[in-house]
Amino acid sequence: MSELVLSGLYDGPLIGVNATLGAGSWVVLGGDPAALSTLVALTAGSRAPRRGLVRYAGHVAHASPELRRVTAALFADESLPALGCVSDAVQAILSARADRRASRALLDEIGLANWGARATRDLDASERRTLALALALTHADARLVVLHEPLAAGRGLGPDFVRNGVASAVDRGAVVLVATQSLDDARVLGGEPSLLHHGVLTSTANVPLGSPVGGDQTFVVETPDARRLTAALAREPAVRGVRWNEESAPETVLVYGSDTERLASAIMKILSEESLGVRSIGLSRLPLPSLLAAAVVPTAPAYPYGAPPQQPYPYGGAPQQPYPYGAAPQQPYPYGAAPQQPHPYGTAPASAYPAPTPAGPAPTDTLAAAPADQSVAMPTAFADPTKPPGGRP
Amino acid sequence: VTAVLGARLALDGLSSRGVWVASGLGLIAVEVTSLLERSADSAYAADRALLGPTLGVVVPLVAYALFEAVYKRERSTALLDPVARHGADRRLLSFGANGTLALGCASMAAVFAALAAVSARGFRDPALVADFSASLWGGALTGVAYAGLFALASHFGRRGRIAALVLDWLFGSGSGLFALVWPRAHARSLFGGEPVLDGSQALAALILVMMGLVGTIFAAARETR
Repeated sequence: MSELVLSGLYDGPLIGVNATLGAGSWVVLGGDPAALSTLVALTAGSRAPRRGLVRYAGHVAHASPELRRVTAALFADESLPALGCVSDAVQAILSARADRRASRALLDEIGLANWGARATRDLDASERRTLALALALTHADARLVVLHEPLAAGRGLGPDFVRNGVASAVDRGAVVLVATQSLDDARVLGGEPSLLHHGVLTSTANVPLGSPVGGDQTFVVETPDARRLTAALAREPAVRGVRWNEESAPETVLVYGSDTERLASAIMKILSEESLGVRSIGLSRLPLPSLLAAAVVPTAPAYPYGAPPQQPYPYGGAPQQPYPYGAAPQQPYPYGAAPQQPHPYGTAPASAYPAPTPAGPAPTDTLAAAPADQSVAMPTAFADPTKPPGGRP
Repeated sequence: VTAVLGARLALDGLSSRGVWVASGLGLIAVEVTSLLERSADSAYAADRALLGPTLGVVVPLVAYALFEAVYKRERSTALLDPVARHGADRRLLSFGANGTLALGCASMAAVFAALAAVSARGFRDPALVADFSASLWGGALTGVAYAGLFALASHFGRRGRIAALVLDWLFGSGSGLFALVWPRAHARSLFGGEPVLDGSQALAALILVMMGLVGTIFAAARETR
């Protein structure tokens, strides 16, 4: 039985990855996207590691065209061969694999026939990943399948396409390695879990991942043009909701949606089209409800980052003010859920955005309770993840 | 098959609009300067047009433009990897791509040199046919040599190609030891200008061919399979 052997990989965020993976499905969970994407690129033989070796069936991955021919991979950032149209690029890929299928027939088979005539440079990052995933999972002879966030890339193709593709590769006796930041995706795809943390891979095969729960992703955008960004994002179908509080955090916009890649594309498109300034964009690691529950509490909306004006010792630390520069003790996690947060999904009575009661119609403006909040009222098609299902008319 | 894939990658870049614009501008520059040289002094017009603007400025710049059109500011790996990761041999891909570029550069330089000779001589000149054919193959060798140089330099991306262009201009203008590895010096020698280390024109032609071959083969050998 052929094994994938990662020995002493040192490259960028990876600091000594060692593993021996036999045939079957393996899932690597990690919080650092750079580490995951580096691991995938090295394992698929896209390039040589700075130190260490990736071997499969005796072949060194980056130096063996024969191995790469039976390797199907999905990278964090995909690029197509620099040929005119998508159909030509796919044909070149099939030729490199020694696959005799015609590109148009393959595109038709995976439901992307209308992409064939498009120029390769017109495909955005998300579309390139979708195409790469389809090519990877339709590789009939793949012995090594390495996928970075396949469920995020495969939303256009459907989760069943990804699950079936992975299952089919496993049935053929391939080594399937999936790298993801999402515990939920790991649960959906199954496989033996490992944890990539601080550049080191640790097997957690005995730790049950539990069943999938689903959920939204939230981007935190720091921008001086928060009002315009909020208004513009309301038009984007990838955006399920936007939160902005003009008083407590006038330059912070929370944007949430189910598809991280489409969400990021939508934000970047708006920033570019509207020429908006931006200080930072980050993907919150916490679910939106926890974020919202902890972001604004009634006691400190007017002074979220500083001391109140009655503070007589703004820089001196008066005995009665132990937190001169920061949040009061009752708000220690301005953008995150406190570990002791008893109501992580926004049902805590202290929240400025109280969760509506499940029964009865919800107001169109979900933030009516907070007059200063300028959140956009989403069309009814957009669900608010802070609301329980069925709460909206 | 893999080398053909590399050639296709290069051909796709060479069919872009930028290549046509650069070639068109090059043709206009060669034609205008050749006619100016002819109006100034018809006896040496062909020599001055060839050794001056055509081989000294236009051919290196347009060869650079062809490589930029194919490699698009990037290192050679950026062009090759999207195909190589699916099983194509990077060395063969590189050989196919740079070989196609060498053919493109040779054709372009041959046309420019022949045009310069014809425009500077005029159609009534009895030496036109001999000059035309000599310029044609001499220009082709010069183009091949520049292709070899830029193929090697492309391993370092756009900075490498710009550095090669500048170093060729700096050191290739001389005729000593430092000029030995630069196409400009040997192209000048081949077309009857100052020889490099007193070498013959035949030696200059041989070195130009070797530069093209060695550059293309070394560029391929530097890639991981």
